Amino acid sequence: MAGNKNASHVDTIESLKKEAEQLRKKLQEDRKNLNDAELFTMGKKPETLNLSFQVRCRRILKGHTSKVLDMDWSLDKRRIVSSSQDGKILVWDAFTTNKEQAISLPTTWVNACAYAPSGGSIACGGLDNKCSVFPLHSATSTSGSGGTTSSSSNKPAVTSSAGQGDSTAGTIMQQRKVVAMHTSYISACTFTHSDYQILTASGDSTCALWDVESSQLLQSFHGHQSDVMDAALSPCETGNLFISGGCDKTAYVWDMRTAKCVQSFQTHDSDINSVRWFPTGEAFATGSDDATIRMYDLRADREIACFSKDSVIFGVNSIDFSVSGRMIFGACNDYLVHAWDTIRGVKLGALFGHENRVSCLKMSPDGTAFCTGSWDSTLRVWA
Amino acid sequence: MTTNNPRRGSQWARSTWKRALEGALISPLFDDGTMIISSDHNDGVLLNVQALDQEEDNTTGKNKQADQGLQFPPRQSVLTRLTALIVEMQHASTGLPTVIQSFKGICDTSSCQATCGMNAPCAKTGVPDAFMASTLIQWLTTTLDITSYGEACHLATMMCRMGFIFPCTTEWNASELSVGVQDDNVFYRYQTPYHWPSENLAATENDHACYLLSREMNPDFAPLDEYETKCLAHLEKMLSHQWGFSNRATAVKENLLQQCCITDQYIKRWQEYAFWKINRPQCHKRSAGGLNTESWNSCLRGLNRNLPSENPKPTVVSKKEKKKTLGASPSRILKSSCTRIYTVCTEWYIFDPFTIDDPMYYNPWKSDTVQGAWPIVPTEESGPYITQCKSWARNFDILLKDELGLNYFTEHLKKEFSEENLSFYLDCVYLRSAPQSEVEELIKNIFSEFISPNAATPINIDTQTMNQVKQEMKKNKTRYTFDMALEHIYKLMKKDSYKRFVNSNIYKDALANSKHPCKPPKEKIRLPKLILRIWRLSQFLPKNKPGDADVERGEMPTLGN
Repeated sequence: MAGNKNASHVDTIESLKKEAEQLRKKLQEDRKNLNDAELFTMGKKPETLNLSFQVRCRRILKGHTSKVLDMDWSLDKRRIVSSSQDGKILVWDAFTTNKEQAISLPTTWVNACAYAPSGGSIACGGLDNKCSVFPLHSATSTSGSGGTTSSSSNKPAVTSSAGQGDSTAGTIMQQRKVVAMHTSYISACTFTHSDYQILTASGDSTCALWDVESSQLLQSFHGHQSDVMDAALSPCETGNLFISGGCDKTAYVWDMRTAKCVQSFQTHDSDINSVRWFPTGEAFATGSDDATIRMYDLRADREIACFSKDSVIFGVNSIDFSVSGRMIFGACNDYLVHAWDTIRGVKLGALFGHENRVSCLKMSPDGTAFCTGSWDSTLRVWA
Repeated sequence: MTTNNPRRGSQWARSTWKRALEGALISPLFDDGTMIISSDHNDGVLLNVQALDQEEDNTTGKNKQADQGLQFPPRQSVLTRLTALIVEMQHASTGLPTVIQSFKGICDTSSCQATCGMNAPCAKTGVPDAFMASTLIQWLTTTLDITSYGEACHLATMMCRMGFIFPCTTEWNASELSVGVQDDNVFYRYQTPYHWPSENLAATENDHACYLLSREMNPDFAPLDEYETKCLAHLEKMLSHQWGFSNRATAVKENLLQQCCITDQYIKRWQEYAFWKINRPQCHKRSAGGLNTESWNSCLRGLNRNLPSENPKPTVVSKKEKKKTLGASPSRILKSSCTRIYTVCTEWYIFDPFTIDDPMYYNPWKSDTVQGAWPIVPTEESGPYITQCKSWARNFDILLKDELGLNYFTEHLKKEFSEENLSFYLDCVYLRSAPQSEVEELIKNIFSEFISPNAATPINIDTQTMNQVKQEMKKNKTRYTFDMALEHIYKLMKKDSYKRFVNSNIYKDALANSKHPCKPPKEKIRLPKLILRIWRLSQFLPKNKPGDADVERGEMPTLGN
């Protein structure tokens, strides 16, 4: 009898699941009919400026020996830090394509790297489940946000080998500071508005906020059902929100103060690989393996635009907006970078150049160029 | 953080591994003869990172690097879409039109009849179901509405690299393939669904051995490449205990193949050849990059995907409050959101380097030279850049983040006697991301300087906010203690001071003095006439046209974009 009960129990669960899935599909269809890309109808207004798409590759940065997994711009708008599968982190002056510093980690697959706002240190993490902060030799202090005192947390470089060249494994590892410890790989890390706090997203389905100086966990954010692939902090300095997207196809909006999830969006069909804020911080976009980029608005609490095309078949690894938000660039697994017009929803074009998956894409701080890193071990700067 | 989940590493069913691998960052190598990970191999699975292959063969570095992307299984969603596309291609009426690939002596009527057993005279004069690259690209362009020829070629190339179609020639390898380029005489064919990557065919080493042996037996079809001979030798060593079995299996396979009619034989051989070209296996084991297998278990992406999660779904906060404020209908809110985004996109184009329409705008990345081409950092003496200055007027946040803009804003506030607002704002912002050790002291400082009754420069906040802040201070001094006041001051500045700043003389002067980067300053330096003349003449020297591919920079010429 118990066996029968169990069987019927399982049956009802199955049928309920199916019903839930059917309802969800119906909801999606109804939603589609309802708004039908209101944003795009606005974009079709005749007074909208037409875009001319004339982006070319301006620099190629060669130096990695394996796949480039992540990169970040410095606030001085010309330096780039990039990390790759061979465990190396390189700091480049992208304008002259010179390598300024190289750091070798003992672990391979450095999934995430970030540049500190002051330009004095970098953070990186990956399969070692940790996020570490390294000081940089020639700490190029940029015009940081007003009020930053001289960083007491950045240990001064012990070996002052000027400028370029490898930091020998011994000394750089001594200066390394392990800040974050997760139970699974780090998929994304970013400094908050200063050098002293780091936000990490990890494969153990949590995000966490850390204090760099003391390596203390300030706040942790639980809620994803699967690996978190990317996190992004709100561009407003007074904002407390950040967004995260994960393999459970959901994007969550979190409040950093209370560690609570404020909003959730689930309309993607596959893993979300990348999340980015719209320049004003009122909306954000996500790039996913289902080959679409979707834009969500916080106030409207729903998806407001979906950028997809039949000919774009491969998943989107990374996305970024241009400074005005008018253009979205998506780095795809078909080795191309696709550019979309945000308010019209049309694809503006595709950029060729990489010879393997494009794994990361980021706009420079002043929006003059964007950089892509690829599994063909090169980085390219486009403008 | 959660402790180690017991489910990991002990209950792996074969299917779970397969699903994990499909999205995994790594793929398994042959492990004692089988690529299939059985449930015996729980914690001791030898999963190897596809490190840069040093010993596989003497191919060029470029080949090695490019091949690696292909060893990584693409995500299932891509394969589903590609198979749907292929199915569409094969549709009778709307699909791709195919031609017959004709050869001399392909169909000797008598022997053909004997094998396929048809009584009617054979109408085959060649092998059907082939197509040319140009037809494929044409079809893709029309069906998928692709705007550029280069993109259509690229899509066709990707389909080939994934293993859904293949060219009937031996002159290709998976990494240097390019459909639509110099292949006017090459016929392409469909790969059989059995060999599609979406079918997750877990080929064993034995399969590979059989294939190489049958290739050896038929050198007319395609002689073994150098790497293949090496592979065969290696396999013979590894499978020496069952080499007889492999030989027999090959013989059986050949026998079965001979019983098909000639056209089918031809197609099958080519399909198998293409499959093994794409799925070129590695014959050597690698070390796992310094990490033990236990941590590999935790690094496979999406591992939790199909398993019930321990985390309860987060309860989304403040849904009730939202319903209260939802006086406007949802469509109205949607419209206002879209309008806001539309406005931002259209108004901010004047300082977005990708949409700017100004011929004088100088983008350092687009300059021809590198030396000295980086624009100098603008200071108050030199004046800001035009785009920078314009952006201050559009959005308050942009102004607050720009150091030069803040200088001008501070000047303006001094005139209005409200600069303490800005100081308070900046200090609070710093507090929110300050190191944990400094937080307490900073709170004290801010309080004594701005909020306490004896403050030197008290800020202008109403009593309600003041009480809230004081309550916060009594409760728990965190970095977010002053948030109420911060928001109040922010809104105040935005509504009053900022609006007046944008219309003020200070800002207008700054805008008038602003210039494009790298343009000569307003007071022209008088160059001697000779130098001016030489400079003018140099403008007539030939330069690179914008459309030309700069090969030195390694750009690929786009295919007739």
